[in-house]
Amino acid sequence: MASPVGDLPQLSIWVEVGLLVGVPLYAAVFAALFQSLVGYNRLRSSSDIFTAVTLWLLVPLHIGGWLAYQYGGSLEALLLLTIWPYVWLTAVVYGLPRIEQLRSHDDNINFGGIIANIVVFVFAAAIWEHDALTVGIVLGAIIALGAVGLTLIFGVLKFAHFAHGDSMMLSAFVAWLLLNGIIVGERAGSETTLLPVNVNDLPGAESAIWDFSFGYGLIVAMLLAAVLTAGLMVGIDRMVYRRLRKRKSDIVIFAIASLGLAFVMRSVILIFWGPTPRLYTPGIRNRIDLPFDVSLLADQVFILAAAFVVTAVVYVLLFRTKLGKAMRAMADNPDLARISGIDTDRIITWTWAVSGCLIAIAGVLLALQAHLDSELGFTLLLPLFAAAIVGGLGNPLGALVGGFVVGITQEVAVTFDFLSPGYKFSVAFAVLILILVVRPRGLFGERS
Amino acid sequence: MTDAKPAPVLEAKDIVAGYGEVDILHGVSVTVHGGEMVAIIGPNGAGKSTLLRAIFGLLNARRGQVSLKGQDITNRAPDELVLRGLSYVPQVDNVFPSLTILENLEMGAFVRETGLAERLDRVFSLFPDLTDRRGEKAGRLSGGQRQMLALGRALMLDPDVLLLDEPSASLSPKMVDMIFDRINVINAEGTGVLLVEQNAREALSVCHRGYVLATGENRLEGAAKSLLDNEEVGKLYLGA
Repeated sequence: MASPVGDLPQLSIWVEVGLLVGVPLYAAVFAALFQSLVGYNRLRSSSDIFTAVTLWLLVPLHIGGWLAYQYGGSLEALLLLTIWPYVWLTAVVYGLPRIEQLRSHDDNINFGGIIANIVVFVFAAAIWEHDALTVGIVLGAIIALGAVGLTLIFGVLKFAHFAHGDSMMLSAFVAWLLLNGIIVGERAGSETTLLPVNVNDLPGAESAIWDFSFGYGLIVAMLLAAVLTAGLMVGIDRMVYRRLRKRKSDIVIFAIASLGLAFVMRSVILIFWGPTPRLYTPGIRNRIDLPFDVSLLADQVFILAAAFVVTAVVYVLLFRTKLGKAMRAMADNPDLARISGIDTDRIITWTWAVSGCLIAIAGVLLALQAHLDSELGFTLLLPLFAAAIVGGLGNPLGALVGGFVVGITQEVAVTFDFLSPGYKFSVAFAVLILILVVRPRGLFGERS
Repeated sequence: MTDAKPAPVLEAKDIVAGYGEVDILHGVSVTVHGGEMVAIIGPNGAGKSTLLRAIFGLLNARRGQVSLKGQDITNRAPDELVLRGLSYVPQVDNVFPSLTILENLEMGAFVRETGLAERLDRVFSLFPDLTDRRGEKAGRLSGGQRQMLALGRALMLDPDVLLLDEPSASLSPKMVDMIFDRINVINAEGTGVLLVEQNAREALSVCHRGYVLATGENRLEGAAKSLLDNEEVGKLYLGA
């Protein structure tokens, strides 16, 4: 079928150079025009120009230019052109109602722009790299669960919990232990059964449900691990962090203490289960086909469903219960929470318990997506922090969105020819830096 | 009882408190009788806010005694104090910005399980401006509305005495009148009020009694009217 715009010729290197130089120039002029149109007639600082340019035009145009170069003249080029009205629509939808606010809240332009870009990015990924997008969403869900716990801890206790990734892996291994009761033996290759009774002994616990590679045993083990991890986190708080609080230690001390605990947890994994990567079940992993040419592992469907359920529960907890509201209140203003008579010690305990549950579930889901590996937790720390900061530290909703942004960007970015998959985690870092430059308080962070 | 005055509800005697090694208060005493509205005025650095913090147990009183309804409450934790009937509104950061107005008020009643609805009704009837905006985040409120919300939060437990740290700070004159008018209504309904004010004339014109602090010591005390007419007070703080 002939495309209505005709076939675009393959672009030369000069066109690409032109895009690199011309587009920013054009965008700068456009930004100035746009700002004067909405009565924001003074470019207050260079960062405003940078922001407006990058957010409203530069990134979509660059993606567009690059893709046009890749797909010159094909159906994709047509789709590229059809993206434009969409970009404009987003710009108008986010821009127009906020024009009045723009005069007083000059950074809504950033927020609208970032959201517009995320939407365009996800939209483009859905067209060209939908396999990577699918994996990104699965990974994003896992990161989001971890990041929500991380951001809760940060909100209430105000320190960076560096043991988050390793706690995730430790609880994944705890679930593994509960499942089959095994730790490694004294010599390599030998195994010792530690638990007299384990979850897989339950009748039918191992027979696979639907197309999953596991039976209900894994779900039971996951929930048990959640309870145990919640207890462990509360215990650690009593033994370590509460003592630091009583001494009124500096925030840095808390963070370093958590880093120490991270090493302890990783060593515990190595001592009990060794460095060999493991899987929950040896079973075959079925792939299922969904509409729109999407196919993913049945286990990944479980991951998404579980993440969705847990997120819903956490939402209800935080926004509909007194306890959750008190957690948010404490994250907002700890002094006022105390003045209001909120028992801050109790809230801290509950925060650890809730985060512990989130840690365990995220850990098991991570191990299900990848595998059980002592190193995996620490590697995940960067994406976790990136997600929490992108969303706005201390804001659970932000951490959720941030998790998906980081997960999807990571997976989609490494499908580009110039980026090897080894750079996956540096993509998270790049996203983090971008957000810190453009909107330091994160997407949903409150202005301080 | 032969004494016409109602019994003291809140009594702070000889309070010595400060930060680090330095004492800011050198034995200050104030009393609030039932249903009374009392102002503490004085120059910057007199220790007015420090006194409120010491009464509310946010700052350790090194000497002296605070009692509420005859019971000793010196250096008790805030969650115990709010249950016993004392509430405190700090001068700044006195709302939870990312919580809605309704949630802010709920947090004010955190320690009690029952009767939330009636107390919410009372607060909303005192501050009708907040009623329509109950689902909005407190961070979006104007300065005056924030102050109303802060008062509302403190009222959620029906306190016997309300401690207010500069309720009129950084508000427009119109808003100051409005806030003092509301405080008057709260007081008329039987809540004792102890407020610290920079804005001495305004404070004394609405309060029953006043204390003048200077350099961490009681300087003068008496009926608000007499303090307003007092020459020394006039010269020092009222710019007369």
